[in-house]
Amino acid sequence: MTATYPATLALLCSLTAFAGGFLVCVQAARAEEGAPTPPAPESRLAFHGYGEVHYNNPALGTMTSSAPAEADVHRFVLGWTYEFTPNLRLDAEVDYEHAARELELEYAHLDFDLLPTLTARAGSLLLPVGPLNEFHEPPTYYSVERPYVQQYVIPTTWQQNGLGVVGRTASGALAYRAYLVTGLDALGFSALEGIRGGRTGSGEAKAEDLAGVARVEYATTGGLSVAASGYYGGADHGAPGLGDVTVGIGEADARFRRGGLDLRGVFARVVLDGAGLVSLGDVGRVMQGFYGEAAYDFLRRDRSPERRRALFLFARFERFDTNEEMPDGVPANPEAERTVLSGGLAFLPIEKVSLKADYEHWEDGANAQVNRFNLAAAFEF
Amino acid sequence: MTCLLRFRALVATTALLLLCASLPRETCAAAPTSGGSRVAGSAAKAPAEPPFARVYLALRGCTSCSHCRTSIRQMVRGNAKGGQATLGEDGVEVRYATARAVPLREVIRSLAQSRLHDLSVVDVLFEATGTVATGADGARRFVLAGTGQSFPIAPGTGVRLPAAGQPLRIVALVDGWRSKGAIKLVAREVRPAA
Repeated sequence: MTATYPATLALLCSLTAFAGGFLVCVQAARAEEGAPTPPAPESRLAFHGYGEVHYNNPALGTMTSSAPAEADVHRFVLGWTYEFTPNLRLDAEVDYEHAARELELEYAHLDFDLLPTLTARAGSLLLPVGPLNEFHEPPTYYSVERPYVQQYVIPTTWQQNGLGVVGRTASGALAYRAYLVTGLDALGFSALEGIRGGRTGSGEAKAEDLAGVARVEYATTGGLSVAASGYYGGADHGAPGLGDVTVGIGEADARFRRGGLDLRGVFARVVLDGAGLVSLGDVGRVMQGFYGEAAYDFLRRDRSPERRRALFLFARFERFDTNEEMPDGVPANPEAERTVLSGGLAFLPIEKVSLKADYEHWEDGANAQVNRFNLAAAFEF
Repeated sequence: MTCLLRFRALVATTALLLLCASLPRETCAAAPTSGGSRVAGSAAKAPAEPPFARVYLALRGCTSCSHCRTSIRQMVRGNAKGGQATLGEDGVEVRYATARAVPLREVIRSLAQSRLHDLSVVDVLFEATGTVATGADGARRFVLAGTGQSFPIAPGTGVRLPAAGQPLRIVALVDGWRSKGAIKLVAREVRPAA
């Protein structure tokens, strides 16, 4: 997997493809110069953002109840959209994580509408894997922390550089995304965090290996939506002495909302393969997890458009194991098998602001247990 | 496997390039041609001639991030039959520059029935040029200029509908879209057409 030229050529083609579309637009815009005045420049720029402040007792990442508590401005994200034309846009977000101690480009991509319901996209992309990776604004989920299956099995928030298409049917019932992106980096995989450390992000990312990723969503008007995601690609980037490593991910999720009730379920399975797998040490060959969640809005915001407040009581059960199956001869780490039971309240005075309190009970395969109390104030705009 | 992916990358990018290059020019035409106002927060500028018609949908829920905005844009455009959709902070506006039938119910339904995202339609406003006509049953209807398309209309509080046949510009609240029956306009503002 060390053939540099084909990969470089592929990425050059990617850039060329989008540049092609851009040039078509520029030419069209020039041809329209005689047309009436377009909107003022300031009206083409729109800002958005979200953020959340957390209190965790004990702090995240420990299985010891006596560990100290922590308060953290976990995320503060600012984003903007600039419309070059009604059909050509730049979208970007910057995440000032942990009170700006970590700066991250959340995503930055160009969108070019090929048809009213089909858009080409290129740049730094959020991968369409699972229900949360793209739609992760804190008021859209009830717990303080994001569901852990979507951190340890699906490495949310996960972005890679690439290109692809975003589309849906005219009825809106069926939506899909399909991207070609740079691959994960197997050297970042670990026993307890799975493939999370292998995200290469957007900056000077390794691009020797590529991956394909796609998601299909179907929603009924009765409140049921189902979806499935898939990812497959190389992950060794030709690292010396590593050998071939590939990553495949399959994911399915469903949600049902009616009458104040909100039920969700997610299942995800990651399979690593290739001759280089054994050299990654105690990294699992298979990582797998699922969760089920039930929530109910006691203020029944759904009953009237005049109602803006909501009070959700939720409960969630998660089980995930980043050492579900191991390479031959490599023992599994029992700490990689975890179950988390969560429950709590989320109060939304308006749709875009939420105040949350919840309680988590963790257990792992080594019989360690921890109870955690969490609080959060979150917003989006 | 990687070689195969790279080959697919070449095929995919080439296809995308060809698709982009073969697009009709209108696909990337210049920005909306009149008014210049976004649904929210536009800068003040000299009034321009309004479009033939526009539909404004007030939204609640996630309208901020790129993915929700792309979804909203596609859902509306997929049903707008040529209308140009512009997203604002808490709403979306569909503009029809020239006279044509406006698929009002379809545009509203595209978002009102969607459960893909945490999004709900709160209110709908409709602005257009036309005349008021009285049907055989005595009910009044607003007839869009040059199209023959019409909607039942009633005056809102403090609004008086002029005599039939007089060219008008109306701004109306759209009523009845939450149910399966006919939609109705409730006039909020009526002025002579320019």
